[in-house]
Amino acid sequence: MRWIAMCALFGLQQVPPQALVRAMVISYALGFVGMLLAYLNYRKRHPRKGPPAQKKERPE
Amino acid sequence: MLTLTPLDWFWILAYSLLMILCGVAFYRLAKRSEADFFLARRGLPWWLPASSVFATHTATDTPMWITGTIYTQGLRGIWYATLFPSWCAISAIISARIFRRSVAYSQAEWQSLRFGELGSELMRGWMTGWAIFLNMFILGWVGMAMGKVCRLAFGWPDGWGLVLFSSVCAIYVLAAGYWGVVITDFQQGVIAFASIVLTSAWGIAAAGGPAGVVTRLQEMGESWRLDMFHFTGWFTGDFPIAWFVTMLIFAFLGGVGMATTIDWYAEAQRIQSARTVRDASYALWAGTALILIRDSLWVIAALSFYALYPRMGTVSEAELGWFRVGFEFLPAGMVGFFFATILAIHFSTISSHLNLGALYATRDLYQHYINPSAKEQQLVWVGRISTLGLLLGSFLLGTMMEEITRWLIFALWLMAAGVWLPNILQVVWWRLNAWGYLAAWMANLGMSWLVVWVLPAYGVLPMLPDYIQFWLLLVLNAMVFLPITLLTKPENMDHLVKFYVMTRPVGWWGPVRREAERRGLLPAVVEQEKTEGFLRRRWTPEAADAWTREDWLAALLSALGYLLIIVGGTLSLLASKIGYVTLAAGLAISAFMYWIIDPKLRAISAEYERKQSRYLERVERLTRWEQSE
Repeated sequence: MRWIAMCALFGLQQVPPQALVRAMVISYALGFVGMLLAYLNYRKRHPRKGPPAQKKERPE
Repeated sequence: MLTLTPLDWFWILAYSLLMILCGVAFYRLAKRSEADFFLARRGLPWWLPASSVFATHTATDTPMWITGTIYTQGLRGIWYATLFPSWCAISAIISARIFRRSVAYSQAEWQSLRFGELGSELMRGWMTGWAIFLNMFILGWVGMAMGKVCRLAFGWPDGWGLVLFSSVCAIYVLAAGYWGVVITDFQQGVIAFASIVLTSAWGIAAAGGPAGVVTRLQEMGESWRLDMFHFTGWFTGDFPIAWFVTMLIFAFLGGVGMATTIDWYAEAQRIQSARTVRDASYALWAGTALILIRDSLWVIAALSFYALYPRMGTVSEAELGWFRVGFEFLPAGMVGFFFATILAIHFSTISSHLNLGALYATRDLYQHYINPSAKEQQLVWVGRISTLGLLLGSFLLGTMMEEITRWLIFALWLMAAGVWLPNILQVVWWRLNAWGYLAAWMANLGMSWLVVWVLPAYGVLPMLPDYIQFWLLLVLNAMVFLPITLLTKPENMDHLVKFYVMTRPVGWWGPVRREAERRGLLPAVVEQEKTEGFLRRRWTPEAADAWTREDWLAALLSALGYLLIIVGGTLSLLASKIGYVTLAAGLAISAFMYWIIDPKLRAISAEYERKQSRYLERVERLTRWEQSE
């Protein structure tokens, strides 16, 4: 629970709001990009309508 | 600023050269396959990943953080440092075993095995992106700590230390991947531990030895700093008992689950690189035990530093205390050795996170989402390119965003707190599905910021103590993910049965187990053998796979052993008789734990190695989208 220690060490109330917003955006942005990529890949192989895309054979 | 002698320069250059040569030496092994580049082909004996656990979690910022904490909190500050890694006490017995059996390369890949269909893919994608960022951020953060040390030692601008030493380290990570990481981690671990002992002993001696430190603090009217349990009440003051109890629960129960702390992601790679389930368990246990002993040494050195310099202006100044002890009190010629130690602890963390971030970028992003039919050689090259990308990204984060890094690291730990419970439930409760787990992560994004900053800023909530924030976040998140779990379909039973048979998780898996038995994949009734007494020491593989009282007792003893080692080790360094007795008790309990669990782990490992190649093939097919579940 190092985050709790961080609270104690650095003092929660002193966080500048603009730094918080930037921290939030940066830390989550790549996660959402990954999720979007996952969704597109899944839909490519499992279309909502019609048969699933043919699976590729693994190269030797 | 330091004045270095030729002998000092010899230590620094010789050490840097040694690390780079190691990388070159293991180049041929690393380039063989993705499994080599990221997991050393899952073939390591326990002591190699153990030294890597220790070395990776000994970073340039660790002595800063521990010294700052002890300087402000006294000896009770040890709980900030040591309770956090204590989750490994339970994890070594429980979740390390489950994760090793999953054969997942990463925590993101684990999502595809534990959950199924679209939900699992969304979780894998999320975790991939988030883990790449997380590793890049840690690299920037630790790199900046090195920059600060170089400013103290040589008067360089912060950016120079960051770029120079991270780049030197990247040479052997690019060449030898995880082989290079783990082999150099072993050397770095040995050098770092020896030097931590030496420098800390020098610092304690400079303050008059253990008795001198105690006397000085008593004369200053600061005896409370010697009390590890100097509580300020049940719920009041800056060190309440409620906080301590919360930490104990967080650390020890968290070990049942996976990814309950950010450290898990690095440990998961080490667990998976061990050659057997038994090696994985001991690697985690022993690596963390070394961390606890290291912390005891640093804590007493930091206390000595306080006794020598009680009036430091700011916490930031105090944070550099251990480095000052090394630079100011070691004799000429040894200062270079001390700086080589700093390089060791820096390289070990940088190399691990470079390779770990590249693992997510290669296995989960490139191979799973961009080019599923990639050949092994291509994957190794993508691993190298990703390593380089992470290095450059860390420079950006370290140098251009310095003002927010402190708050970012804080935000990341906060996120770990919010998903603590679902991270345990994913292991112990069959009914938690991908939608519930995903909802927990998403809800946590908003909840943590609302509870900690937004609502207090608007006066809706008072500014709560940190441990209450933890419990509140736990309840609020549960109010979101539990209804979503129960209102959506359970995971597909076929998928769950495969997962259960492969990993044999602990907890509430009754319906899945019964289905596996019905299909003949597990024996309906485990053969009951007469035990020689309360504790069984002879196991058949089938019986060893079941969770029994031996596991629970070993987990309990493991946690107790850690606590006694922390308390005993620290007090022993202050020459306390109670400390010696407590340390001896901690070591004896740990030996007893080994006596109980070792026969069982041996039986599990022997059986699992026979099945592993079949499981590896299935995981490979899932990652290449050749098998749909």
